[in-house]
Amino acid sequence: MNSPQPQEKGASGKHRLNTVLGICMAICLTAMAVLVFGNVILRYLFNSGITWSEEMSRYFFVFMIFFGSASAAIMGKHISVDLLVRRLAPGNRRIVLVIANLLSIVVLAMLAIGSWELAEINRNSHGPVTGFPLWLLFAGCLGMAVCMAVVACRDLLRALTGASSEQGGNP
Amino acid sequence: MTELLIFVAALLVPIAFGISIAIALIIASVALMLHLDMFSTQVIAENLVSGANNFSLMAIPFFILAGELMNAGGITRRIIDLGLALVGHKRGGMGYVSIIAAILFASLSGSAVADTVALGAVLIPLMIKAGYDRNRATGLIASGGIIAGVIPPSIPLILFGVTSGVSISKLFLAGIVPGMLMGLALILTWWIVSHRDEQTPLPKQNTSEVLRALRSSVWALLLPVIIVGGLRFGIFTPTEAGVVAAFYALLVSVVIYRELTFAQLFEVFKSSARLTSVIMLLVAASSISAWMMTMADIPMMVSDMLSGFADSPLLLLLLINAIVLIIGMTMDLAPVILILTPVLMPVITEAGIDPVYFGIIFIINLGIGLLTPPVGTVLAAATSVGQTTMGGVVRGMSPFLIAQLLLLFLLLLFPQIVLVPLHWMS
Amino acid sequence: APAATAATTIKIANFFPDAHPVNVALREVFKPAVEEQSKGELRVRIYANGALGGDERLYNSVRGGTLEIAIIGTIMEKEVDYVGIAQQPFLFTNYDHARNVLRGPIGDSLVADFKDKLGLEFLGWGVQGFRVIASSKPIKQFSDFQGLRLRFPGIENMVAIGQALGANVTPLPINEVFGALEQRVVDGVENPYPNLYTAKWYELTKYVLESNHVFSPNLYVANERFWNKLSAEQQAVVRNAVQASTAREWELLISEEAGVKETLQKEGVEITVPSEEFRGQLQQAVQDSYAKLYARTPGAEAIVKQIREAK
Ligand code: NA
Ligand code: NA
Repeated sequence: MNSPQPQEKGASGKHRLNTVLGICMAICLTAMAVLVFGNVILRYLFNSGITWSEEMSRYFFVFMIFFGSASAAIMGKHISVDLLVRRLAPGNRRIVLVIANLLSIVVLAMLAIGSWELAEINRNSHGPVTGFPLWLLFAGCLGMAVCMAVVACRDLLRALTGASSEQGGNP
Repeated sequence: MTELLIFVAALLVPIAFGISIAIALIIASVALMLHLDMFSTQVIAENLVSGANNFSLMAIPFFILAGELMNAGGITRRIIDLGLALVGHKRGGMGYVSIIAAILFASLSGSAVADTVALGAVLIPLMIKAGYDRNRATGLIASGGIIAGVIPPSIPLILFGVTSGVSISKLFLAGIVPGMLMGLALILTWWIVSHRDEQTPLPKQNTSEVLRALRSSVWALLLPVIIVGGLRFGIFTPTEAGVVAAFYALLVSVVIYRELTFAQLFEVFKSSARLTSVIMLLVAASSISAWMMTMADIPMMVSDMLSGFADSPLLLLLLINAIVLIIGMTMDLAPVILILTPVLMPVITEAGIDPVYFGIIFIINLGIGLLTPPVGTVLAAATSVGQTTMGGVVRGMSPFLIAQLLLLFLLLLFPQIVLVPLHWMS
Repeated sequence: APAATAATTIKIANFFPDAHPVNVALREVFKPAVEEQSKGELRVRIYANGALGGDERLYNSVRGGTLEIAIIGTIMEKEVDYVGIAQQPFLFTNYDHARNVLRGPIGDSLVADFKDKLGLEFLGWGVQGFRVIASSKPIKQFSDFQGLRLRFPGIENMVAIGQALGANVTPLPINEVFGALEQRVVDGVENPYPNLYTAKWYELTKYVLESNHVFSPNLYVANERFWNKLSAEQQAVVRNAVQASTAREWELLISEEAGVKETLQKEGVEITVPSEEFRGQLQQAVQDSYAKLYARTPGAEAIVKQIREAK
């Protein structure tokens, strides 16, 4: 959980980023709800529909997940099990935290690299109905992976410097 | 076999190290890739993105949004008030209130955790004030919370439907009766255990007060009718049902109850989106694992291992449920559904077991897993909302947990309990 | 891992059920041919039934290289010049026409830019079939399309064709079609006969209009980097195996179509063959599709002419 008192400069930057992510998430959720609901309404009241609604709402959904996952990582809300780690002696816990964060950073880097490669491959691809540039989906995934990796780096530094390992998110 | 062991080890060790389950799933997939000598960062990214890019799964954020709107907009509170007015004055009444509220709320919300938190925050303090044991009260709320995953709408049933290809609408309709039975099992158990507790019942409300509570909650009670009716009569798909529920909840909260400000609304959208993302990151990461398990032939391996039981569906089901129960104790629900469904479905179909029936059983079983340590998200949520210890909740919950397990066993022995009412409804 | 990893494994994936001609041919022709003729240097693993995903996902996977060969529709039509021509309405008169054109030099010219633009090696043309319209309400005349909710694939040209017919087009993903038909969210779906049968849509749609409005091919494409790693002999082995396998696929599909129709009729499906007049109305309605095609890709007109003359 986050500590309530704002410390350091990083904390306010983190807060600002989280606010921006929150606005983006809310916009995506609203947009997908309006698109899907609009289609139901059009179907029954006007016997028509928006052909691109299904596809476009899916893209909003994917982006909502990227924003939301990054935000949840910043706030330490991804589901994890700290039962074992909490029972370790402080020294051992530090070792485990270092390993855990390093591992997380490594796979998040793999995810980021994979996203980059796919964005490259798809730089000329478009959604079949909407014409939406598909590389954006992978760019979004890249952004999420980087964001989550930065959080893990922060936690790694905390574990290394021995700063209170109580707070901060799960890796 | 080696592949299966590598996957399980590479999943459980990182989880034990406190790594979030979504990332542990990617680590386990990478371990399989290395073992199969087909390491590729693109497999990770490709499956993660396409695992999330799914129209049917959009029902999840919509139902979560509907649930959060109902909590913030006063619908949840009115349902609890109705329960209080109806049975609050009976001996052990607060317990019945909790169970009835859990069933009603289950028909509005798709998530067991959300249910537990929303009801627990209001009902646990009330129950403690009325003289009930804190752990027993918290345990009851938690075991009532898992009904939300069985009675439609249900996030777990959506996940199962998407992975297995079984009709989500059918699963929703099939969940109604077993979900009610879970409530009934709790009522019976509560009737037995509450005799021993000291409590002071609430004063009895007169008829006009009961009517007022009913009138005030009628808007909430209409929603399950809309959802089930809409699905049954082909007015919308499950995803559209979710968005209809959300708009309905918005309308009732803003126009009829007038309890939502714009700032609150923004908060609700934000928290719904974040909650969805946490679930969906698990879903997306699981789809990497599922892909790699297909590459490693693990579904076929498991099929071969279980094929000896294909002649006896009951034995097969008992075995599968024992395995699922054990896995459910140590894993979160979403990844288990996404990873086990493709592994188990071929065996289930081969043995001639009805896939809709299996889905319901599977989800009830995993719902029970949400209540058990070491990894139980409902247990954890209840512990925090009841402000007690995990051990305490487990103790207080044990009779209810046993009742749910007995019900599961009963449904395994008599599939008709699920299938006959489903046949009537569809 | 097993000791014999010296062999290269070719993962070939599609989204058709196990019993579909594509997969029968893969199992009986492609796999044995590749494994025997490469003397065990190449191994084949078939992933049917969408085990590795649907159209979009297979396309992404084969371009990224996580999949060696994919069998997909014309999902890439917007990224290349001419492949979309294959799915123009009322272009091919019958299966022989389609087979001769696609498996000959004209077919090659449709996919000539796959390597440069997509990084894909084109291996061969398979067949899904002529598309017909299955619905829960009868379509006896052109005006019956009005207000009918029909599922079309989310491909621009296909959506436009549906709209030109006057239907209320709902582009659902293919795996949601059964549920949507069951819940009557859509009244019908258009697809080739074998798909109506194998996906069990016929259980919910008791009327079929044999419109044959669009012919759908299957495209066998390989990842370019994988392809370049093969020796010239291995490439020849794979290419020949695809030729043999797709030849079998065409044979099976054409010969089975009559059987599938018979089975559908036994299941109570009423099949309508449009009259000359009705067919004329259908063709008239979708003419716009060609104008749009020529406006977008000027070279297309000549190819269409060649195809029409080739029959
Ligand atoms: Na529910
Ligand atoms: Na558990």
